[in-house]
Amino acid sequence: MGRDGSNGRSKTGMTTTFAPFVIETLWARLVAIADEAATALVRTSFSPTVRESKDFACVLMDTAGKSLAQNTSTVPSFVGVLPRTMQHILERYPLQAWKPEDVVITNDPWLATGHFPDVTLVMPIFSGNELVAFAGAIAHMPDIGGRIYSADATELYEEGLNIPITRFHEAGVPNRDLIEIIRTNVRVPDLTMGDLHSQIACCKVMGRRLIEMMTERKLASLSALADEIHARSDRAMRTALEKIPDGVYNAETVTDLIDGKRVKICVSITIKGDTVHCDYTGTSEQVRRGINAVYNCTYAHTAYYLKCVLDPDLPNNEGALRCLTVSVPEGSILNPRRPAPVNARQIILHYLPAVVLEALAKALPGRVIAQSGAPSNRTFLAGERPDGSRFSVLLFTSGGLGARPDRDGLACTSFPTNTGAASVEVLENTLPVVFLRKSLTPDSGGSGRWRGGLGQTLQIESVSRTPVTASFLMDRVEIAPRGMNGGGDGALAKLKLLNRPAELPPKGRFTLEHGDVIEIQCPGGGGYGPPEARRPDLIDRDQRFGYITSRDGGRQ
Amino acid sequence: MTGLRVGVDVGGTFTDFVLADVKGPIRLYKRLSTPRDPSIGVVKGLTELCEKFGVRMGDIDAIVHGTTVVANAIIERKGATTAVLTTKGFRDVIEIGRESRYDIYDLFIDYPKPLSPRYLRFELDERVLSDGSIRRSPEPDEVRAIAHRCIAAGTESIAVCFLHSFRNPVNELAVRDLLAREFPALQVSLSSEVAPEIREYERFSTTVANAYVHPLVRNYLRKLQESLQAEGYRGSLHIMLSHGGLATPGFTEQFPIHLVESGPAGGAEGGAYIARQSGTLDQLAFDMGGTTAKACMIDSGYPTYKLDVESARIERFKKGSGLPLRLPAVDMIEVGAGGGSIARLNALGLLDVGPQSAAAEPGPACYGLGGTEPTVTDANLVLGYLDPLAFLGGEMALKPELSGAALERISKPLGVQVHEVAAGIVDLVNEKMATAARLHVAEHGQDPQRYALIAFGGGGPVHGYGVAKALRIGRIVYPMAAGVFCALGMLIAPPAQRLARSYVCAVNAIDWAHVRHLLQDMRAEATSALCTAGAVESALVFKLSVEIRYTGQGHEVEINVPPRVIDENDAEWLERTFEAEYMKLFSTRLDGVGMEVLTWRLSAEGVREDLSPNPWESGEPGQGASADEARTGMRQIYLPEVRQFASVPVYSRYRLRPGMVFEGPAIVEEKESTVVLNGLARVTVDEHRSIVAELQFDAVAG
Repeated sequence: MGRDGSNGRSKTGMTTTFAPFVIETLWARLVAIADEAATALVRTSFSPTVRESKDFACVLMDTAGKSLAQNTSTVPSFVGVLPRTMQHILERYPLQAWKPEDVVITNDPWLATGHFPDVTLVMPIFSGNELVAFAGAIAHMPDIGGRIYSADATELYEEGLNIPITRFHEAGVPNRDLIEIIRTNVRVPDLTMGDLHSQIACCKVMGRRLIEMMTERKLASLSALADEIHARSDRAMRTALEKIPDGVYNAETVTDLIDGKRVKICVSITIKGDTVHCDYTGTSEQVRRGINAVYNCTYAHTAYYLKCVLDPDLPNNEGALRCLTVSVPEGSILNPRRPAPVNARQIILHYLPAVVLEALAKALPGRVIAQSGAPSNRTFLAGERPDGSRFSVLLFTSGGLGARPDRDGLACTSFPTNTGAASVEVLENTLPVVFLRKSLTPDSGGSGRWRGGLGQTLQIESVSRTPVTASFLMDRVEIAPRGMNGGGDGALAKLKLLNRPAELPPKGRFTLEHGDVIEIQCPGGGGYGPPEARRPDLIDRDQRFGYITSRDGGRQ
Repeated sequence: MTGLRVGVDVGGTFTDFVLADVKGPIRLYKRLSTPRDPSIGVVKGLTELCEKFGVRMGDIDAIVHGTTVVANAIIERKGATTAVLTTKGFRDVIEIGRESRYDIYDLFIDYPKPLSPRYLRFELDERVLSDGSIRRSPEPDEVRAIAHRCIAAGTESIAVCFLHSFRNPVNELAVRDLLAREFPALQVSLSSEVAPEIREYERFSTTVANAYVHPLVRNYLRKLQESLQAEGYRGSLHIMLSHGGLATPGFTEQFPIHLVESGPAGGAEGGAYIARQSGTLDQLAFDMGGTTAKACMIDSGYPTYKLDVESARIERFKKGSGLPLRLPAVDMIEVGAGGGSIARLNALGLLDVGPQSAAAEPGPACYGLGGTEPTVTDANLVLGYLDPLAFLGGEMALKPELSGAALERISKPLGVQVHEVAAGIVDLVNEKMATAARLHVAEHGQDPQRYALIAFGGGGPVHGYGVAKALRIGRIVYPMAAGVFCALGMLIAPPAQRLARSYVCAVNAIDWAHVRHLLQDMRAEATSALCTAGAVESALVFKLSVEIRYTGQGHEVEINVPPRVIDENDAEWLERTFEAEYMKLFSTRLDGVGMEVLTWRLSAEGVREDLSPNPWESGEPGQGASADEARTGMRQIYLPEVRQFASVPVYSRYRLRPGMVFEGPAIVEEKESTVVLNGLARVTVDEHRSIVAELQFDAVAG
């Protein structure tokens, strides 16, 4: 045993391998560094999606671009993506090209996280003259130019500014030309630059803390530690997989009509020994609407659902993903070719848990939930306040979660993303609208031995003297969340104008006049198990609480 | 007037008492709590204390009381049948919540059920708009019909929660007046009084919780007062609120939810007292017990406050898994790391510690009460940090051989020595506590390195050195009476009110007459409450602050407003001050972005009681004296820096006198804890008998 807790030491006296009783301590510190950086990012960010939806990630990587640690509360789309982006960055800027205080930027959807608003920044971490690691941050910008957040672009070029892999700062000196290009192309240049700076601050926190840790713990390099952590995570995941019967597990679903056609999503999951392969062959081709999801997103979401089901407590690192391969034919809506539009990719991505979990249900009964009221509705409102200032706000509203094998589904909960809803009082202070209702929708949960989570009903009145543009990003108006093992379907989403006869488009825009009242119903979760098996006391409770309006409430 | 005062802290296992007067030494007493009716333990303990120290109940001037009765009632669901009366269309606000998940990988999470069931939540056709204008007033007959249904359902307490009532409470007040007149049996909590701040979910949740514990706290306090009187007590009773200020039983009965973090607040106040006394005003108070560790930042000599509390978490250490409460509280974080925390190998084959705890029963393996799993205390014993014969002043002999056997459960599969695993456990638990503290400090935009550490609680002094090292904190203060620190803090706390009024507005469009009205309103409310508690109006100290942010941000910066008339000219001053403060916090400034104010806060404090200048019987000053005379022997302890055992001096806390100096590594034994200095340190005993250790850090690797 070495003097510093190591099993062996290099010639320089530095630690090269680790005893099992020190790894967890070092590992905890690395995750803490990423979490502290995340705190710095959230505190200074202007982007509500960063704050409320945690639509960001902070990642420490070794010099090969492999992840050492990622902040704890990452959203599904960012699981394991930055190391992939880092490979492209290292191709453009090999190791010897990096100087202290460099900042490299990109938001290329194919190289990074799938749509323009997410910007990736990477900084090198130097110990003296030696490059020892990289700090990376991904965050959703307040604005990136192009069309307002919508699904109706037909080509990528309409969706905003594409920043290739470039230097944002070189040795600490800002790249003025690039900054001018960004400022000129976005609607809120000060806020956007403010958010880019908070990403830099966040990378610097990681750099400072990592050097402190390496000094205190006498570490010369991090690669051995990373290898050890990855190898152990890999083994744990493979052990979990080995317990699952080998086989090929399939599931598929279709979405609402998009330009007159249904999108089909198919998955075939092959579990063989200690590996898992997800193949999306058979899924519809890419469409000329901004709902295509690049491969990185498909991969990240798939990995997220597998982790939820196989080992939710396992640390979030790429070692845990080595047993997973994902294949999607090129040109698919889940692996589109440039220049497919991609902005509202979540509409398709949020269908993935439906198929992945359903396929795994056959392999892992008891560990998966019925289909949820996802994708959830998003409503974008833009217009003018009485004082002439402009407003544009995205409202997130959640449906119900699918019922679980041992209990009811959660009502009105964000999934698979994690976007909280804003307060009605705050919204009414910001926008010329009055909410007339925001309450649970009775009978919206799929029936079953365990009931699906209830969706909610919102009624929103425009009190603006000038017209308000509403852009709806809504699905599940035609295709209900399915129940599992005999459970009933959750209720469909609905969109109505209450005060006058007019049709509202679930994936389009509508102009609201003074006094117009829209009603949005979010879908409910699917039920689990046959409704006949539901305990009578739970039916009594549901009736007493008004979750169902009759004893067979919600039964199809 | 004898000046005698008693601080009483009711904890889960022990009820602690601290007796003090203005000149003499402090006296401590501890007895078992009586969980079924905590007031019994309080009153019995007081009579025992009086007997022990030869004091009569009638001689005591004041009792300051901290209690977990509210927190426990919510966790154990022992509150009243509670109804909610709310705005039409919004009866599910407290059930829908924030719509986000507190654990994104776990598909099986749950949330606490609302404290008022859905069938007792009634909608009323009333509406206030965001600017405070009334769109619809409540119809009295509709209110009456609902009240009849509440009473028929056995409701004792009702929460009235209307949208935008923080802006204009007229509709809530009208309903309260009607209910008070016609349905006096219903206890009414108004959201505009309990938590008059924007954001309906948090405000409603707080108000419902207030209504839920209302009858219970009223009964508890009345019973306590009666029992005290029966024992001959004639002095005043003060209750410790979550924010560390004291209130009268009257205020507490009306707003009982403010008691939710009553107990721990005393520890923070005690830490702040030590910080002021020691002259190092910025400190991190670190309290480690059997199951959890807590940390609180002390800035400029006073605890920091938070405005969001969570109660009854489904998963104790997961933020977001509980019921949100919007009220001022001492800002403390809690991690699942204590002496009883259990160590094990996780799925990756790596060592992990906590949050599972062996608690007091069966306790660590070395207690010999049947525990077989290795805990942090077992690791400390094996490493020589604890003396098996001196634990709790020798009242409980520890069994090191049982610790060794328990630790072998981990060391054998790994093929390493028992002490290596023990060192790994201590290192990891220190790291976990340091990590939580580091994140907490970072969330306030600060760096841990600017703080000193105050270590108290049973485990704080054992682990303080390791935690300070992980945080690169250069100074540790170990105060006297570490074991009853919360009760001590209660004696120092002032009567206080912390009030808030939300008014969301762009800084350049503020209606200053409205602001002045809000401020006068808060001042009158605070003055009236504090004067009822016996404070003198002219001696009250007011502090005003306002939360500002760049329009569009989600985090506010609190700006202190100097005491003067607030008027139109202050807009520019606010903008300038905010910019400067923002610059200080984030090293940047944003040109061309507007600012908005959110909430005005007023803190009002009466006079802070002081302890006697010489609270500890300290004997002769030891200036220049060698600490050798306090030395009781030598002990083999494990030194992580050199990864081996070495013999170090052991000192008795009670023989160390002010001015004495010694060096670490060393051990200081006291009754309720042990100061473990398992590395280099320069140690002095200050004039208040606190032990102060100075640490050095290498700047260079290797």
